[in-house]
Amino acid sequence: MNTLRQLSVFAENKPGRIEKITKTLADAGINILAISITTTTEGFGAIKFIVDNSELALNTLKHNGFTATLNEVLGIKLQDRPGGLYSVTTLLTKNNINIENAHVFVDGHREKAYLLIEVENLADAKERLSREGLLFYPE
Amino acid sequence: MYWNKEAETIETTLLDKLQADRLRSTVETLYANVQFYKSQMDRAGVKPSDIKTAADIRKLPFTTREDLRENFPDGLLAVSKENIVRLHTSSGTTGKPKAIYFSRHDLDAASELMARNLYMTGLRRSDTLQNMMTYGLFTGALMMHYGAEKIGCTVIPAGPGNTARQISLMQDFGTTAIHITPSYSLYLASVLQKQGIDPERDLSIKKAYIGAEPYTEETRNKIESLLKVDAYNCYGLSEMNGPGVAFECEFKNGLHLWEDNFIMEILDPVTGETLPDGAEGELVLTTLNREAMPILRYRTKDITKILTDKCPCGRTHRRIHRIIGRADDMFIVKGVNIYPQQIERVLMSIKGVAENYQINLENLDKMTVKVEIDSNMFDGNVEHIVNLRNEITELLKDEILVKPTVELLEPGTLPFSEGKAVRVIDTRTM
Repeated sequence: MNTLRQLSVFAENKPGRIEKITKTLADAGINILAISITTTTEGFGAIKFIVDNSELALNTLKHNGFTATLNEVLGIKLQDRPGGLYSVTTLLTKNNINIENAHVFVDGHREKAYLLIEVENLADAKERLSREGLLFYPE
Repeated sequence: MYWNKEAETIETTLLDKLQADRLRSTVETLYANVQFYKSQMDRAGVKPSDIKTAADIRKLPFTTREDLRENFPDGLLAVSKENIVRLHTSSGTTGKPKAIYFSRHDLDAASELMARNLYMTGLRRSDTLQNMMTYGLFTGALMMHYGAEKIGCTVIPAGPGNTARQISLMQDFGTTAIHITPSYSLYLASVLQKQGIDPERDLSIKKAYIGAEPYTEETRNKIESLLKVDAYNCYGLSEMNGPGVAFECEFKNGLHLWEDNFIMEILDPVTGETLPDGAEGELVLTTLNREAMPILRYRTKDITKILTDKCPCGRTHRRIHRIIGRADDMFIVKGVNIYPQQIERVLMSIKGVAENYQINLENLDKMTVKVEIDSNMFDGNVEHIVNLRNEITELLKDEILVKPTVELLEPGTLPFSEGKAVRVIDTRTM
């Protein structure tokens, strides 16, 4: 199944956390393709990455004492034109798919953009959206 | 199964008589040789001849920590210096040191009790005990050391700290038992996990003797499941020889307190009134088998209760409940009395919470509990962490009746301890 593995790192809201995490990834030679940050009012959050080598990134972070995990996300191809995102969100609504978290990822050649979504039932969402003719990463 | 069957299963009537005899002789010695006790007894209007039974102990004056400090360094010695073979000091967790002296007889008696304790848990000659307590002025490591040697098992005097070396000692010498503080055992478990060492598969440890800090049943369960050991609770204090005053047997249902060596009482910590068996209060101990520095009615500040039901192990010495709290550790938030152990009990029962926590008291109405999350609970969904925080807050509120602020931290953020853990940070100015 062509889904993406997203790396999530638990972090307290305090200065320097992202710097430390990204330095650890940089030192391991890992390329970050996308990043998003979720914070809460409770003083912590999660930093989410799409990287070129998710297993290595996970092991490196854990080895350095970070609390991290990998989870599957769906990358929906976006059309590079006005209304491109709207046409996708319309289909999500139509299929009653509730997004827990989302961000955008531009592929290596800067040609294609993908909307990355975390949903409760990934397989089901993917099936419904493919019936609508949407394309996913990697194509 | 008994190290000293006669002493451990002594009939109650004989024990009463033994206690009375030993108490009388202790009181006579103190009255004759220690000025402090003579003047305390004179002031209370009690003479050695007034002590006929063990119950007459209530006529005697208390000894407090302050008394030990005021008589520092040698005001409570009952024998001349040439009879002393060992000095220990106890700083407790706070305050100036207290000096405790031992004669040859006293060291032998303390080792004998420790041998009883360890044998009772199944420790034998073929075992190897890695002693991870501090050797030195603190009694904890040495008394355990002597007791284990007395049984004939191999002792590794590792001392605390240097966790990597501890683990290699365990691997190289096939350690079967450890003596360790609860906080360090939890830290050890986290290091083993991080290094991918499975205690069950890669180590030979079967027993852990956990003491020097009060801890909860939940923490014991956690230690047992993380280290794959039987963890035994031990109780003692330097003023009363050190560890080994009371110890759990194989049934782990409270700690047998050796009543041939100590008289125990439970008092209301505020009024000083004697409480009946089963009631919760301050443990007060009198030494019955000590030569160099006998102590009468020592206020331990430890809160517990006496368990009176018979133990299936056949030992007749009554048991105490694991230490419920320390009269000194109690703190007040919003007018409610709280023991740190209550908070620990709640935290250790919640899935998703790691070993380390800290209680911060900023003002009279606000308490913040900092908790490290278990890295295995993180699944990338922040909502699950928010739920965990709410669950902790609610369960704590149910237990202590005050709603704390709960902060969730990344694992490894809080300082860990290789000795006695500092769990309460009180920055309030009164």
